[in-house]
Amino acid sequence: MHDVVKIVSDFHPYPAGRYPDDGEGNGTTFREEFLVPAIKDGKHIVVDLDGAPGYPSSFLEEAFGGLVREDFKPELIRKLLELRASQPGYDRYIRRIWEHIDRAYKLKLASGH
Amino acid sequence: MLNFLSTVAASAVGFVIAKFATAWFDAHVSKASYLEAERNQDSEIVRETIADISLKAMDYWSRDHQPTDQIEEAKITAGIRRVAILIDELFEHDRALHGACSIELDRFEDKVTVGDFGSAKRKAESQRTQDILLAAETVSSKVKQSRRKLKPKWFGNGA
Repeated sequence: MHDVVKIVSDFHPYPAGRYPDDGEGNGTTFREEFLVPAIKDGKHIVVDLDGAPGYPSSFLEEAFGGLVREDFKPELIRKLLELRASQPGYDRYIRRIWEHIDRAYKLKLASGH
Repeated sequence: MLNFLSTVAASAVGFVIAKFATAWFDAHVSKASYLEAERNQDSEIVRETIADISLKAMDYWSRDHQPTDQIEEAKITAGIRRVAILIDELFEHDRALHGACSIELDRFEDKVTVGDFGSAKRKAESQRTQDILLAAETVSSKVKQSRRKLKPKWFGNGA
């Protein structure tokens, strides 16, 4: 059994921004409401990316790269997080999300934390 | 008489075959030309869209946050996704060219939408407008070069 979160319908139709002050569709809120609780509980979570106008790097970095800054290891994230996109132009966001996660981990290692 | 008739019949058959071959060849060349023109058009649309996004993005980063920025942000992110779709279609059968263009599009996207993009506390970043312009030129140039490297569709390859 796993949760499926469709960003545009379950979270916000226009995901953008990093912090709660940036608006309702921000990356921090998405991470804290959907990703962190599932991963903390060891639950498999599916995130469906279809339907948004697009995803700014700032949102993706904060929502997904931010998981690493919350001390989740990339291996655990890969194990529990499944990204889904079927409409044209969305599959690249899957690749970009994993890049943000890997980059955040490299930065974390480099900073010694 | 029989010889004459068989010559006439053979000529008629040859004529019909030649007609069919010409018609087939014309149709094939016409279809291939159409596909090549379509690729040129797609490449042009990519470059026009990149130019449009970069203008919007340079305007966006040349000033501090405004309450109406959400509309511009949606236009910019949707424009980048549109470019990604066109690149997917244009280089569908050539992974190397697709990869090269996608990397440059990723870099362009990062110049435009990373950092405080979408933030209510966003401040103007003059250096970023220069970076956006350079990244836009790079991705446009890469798409143009890659389009030229695509195998033509004349004989059914690269299709």
